[in-house]
Amino acid sequence: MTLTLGLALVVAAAGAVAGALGALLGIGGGVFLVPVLVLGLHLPMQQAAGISLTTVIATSSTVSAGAAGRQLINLRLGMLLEVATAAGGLLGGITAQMLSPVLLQRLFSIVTAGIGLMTLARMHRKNTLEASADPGPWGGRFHDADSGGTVVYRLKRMPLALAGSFLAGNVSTLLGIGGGTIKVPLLTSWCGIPIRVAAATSAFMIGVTATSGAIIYYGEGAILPGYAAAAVLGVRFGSSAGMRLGARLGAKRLKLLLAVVLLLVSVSMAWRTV
Amino acid sequence: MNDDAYSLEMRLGRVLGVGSLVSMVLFAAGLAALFLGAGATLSDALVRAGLVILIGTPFARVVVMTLAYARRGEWRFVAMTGIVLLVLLAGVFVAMR
Repeated sequence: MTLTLGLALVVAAAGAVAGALGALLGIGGGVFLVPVLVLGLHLPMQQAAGISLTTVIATSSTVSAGAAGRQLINLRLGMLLEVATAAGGLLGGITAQMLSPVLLQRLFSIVTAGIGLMTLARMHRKNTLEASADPGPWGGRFHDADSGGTVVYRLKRMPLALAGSFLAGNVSTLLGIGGGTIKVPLLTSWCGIPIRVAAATSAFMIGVTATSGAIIYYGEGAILPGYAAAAVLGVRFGSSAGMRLGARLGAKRLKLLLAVVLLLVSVSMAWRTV
Repeated sequence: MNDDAYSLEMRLGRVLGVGSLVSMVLFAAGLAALFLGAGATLSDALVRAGLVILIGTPFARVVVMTLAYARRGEWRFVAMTGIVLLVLLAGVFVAMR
């Protein structure tokens, strides 16, 4: 499909929403962009995933550049989990070229529905400890906008965090979604990480996860350059709007938004394959 | 957060900020070239250059992290960032086959 000005604007607008979600929830926004490209613009799943991966990288770079220095990105935890996501991501990039588009869409739908429901079920869990608590080697402390004070958090269930990150890397490259959709709910619902830290650390990590897949898609010629350029420019504007909004939303609202986005995306993707 | 971690985080933020800014300028120029009639070849070249820089930016941030941890002698983290670098390089190798 040749890229017209109107089409470029539509793609850029979708990119803006993706960027805002990335800034708010650390999920890269591919989870929103892929359905728009597949359902709205009738691109094949592989091309949609390729374009989406480039926007995930853009989201990650811009959001992390903006969040640097605010104590929300946990670099040590990010690096630990990144080992698992990068390995999973590389594997996903190779297998994505072998699976049928319909199967990929169904997988996408099932994965997002499952995570959305689990996030809702565990929404009221609090992950912050007293400022005097010991954060352990993988935890940290930060200024919590909700309570107005400094809080501490610890990493719980590290093997689960690692296994989930491997899965996140794999599914993310398969589906072009960056993997934050799995990591953020997992880290915040089971592993003791507050939603803001989970989002910022995930936003930081997804660039590398998406890169390990994007390299493969680029090599296969599956990234349409004009579409990717329009989407990435949209991301830039969306993510700065999202960062301003995110500072004002409470942790519970962020979790609810995460769950709603996941369920909506799941339904829209399932719609096409039945 | 101690000063070391803070300065590393700020440095990584700059690497990511500059990389994404340069790629976005190239994307904007590429789309402008396309829609203002400057030619599909020029447009394609600009956008592809932007893509390479965009994809290369997280790569650069892993390299910066590896060097920073090596300088501080935090070998556990050097091992982690090193594995991530190897995985990314393996991706380049697979893509170039």
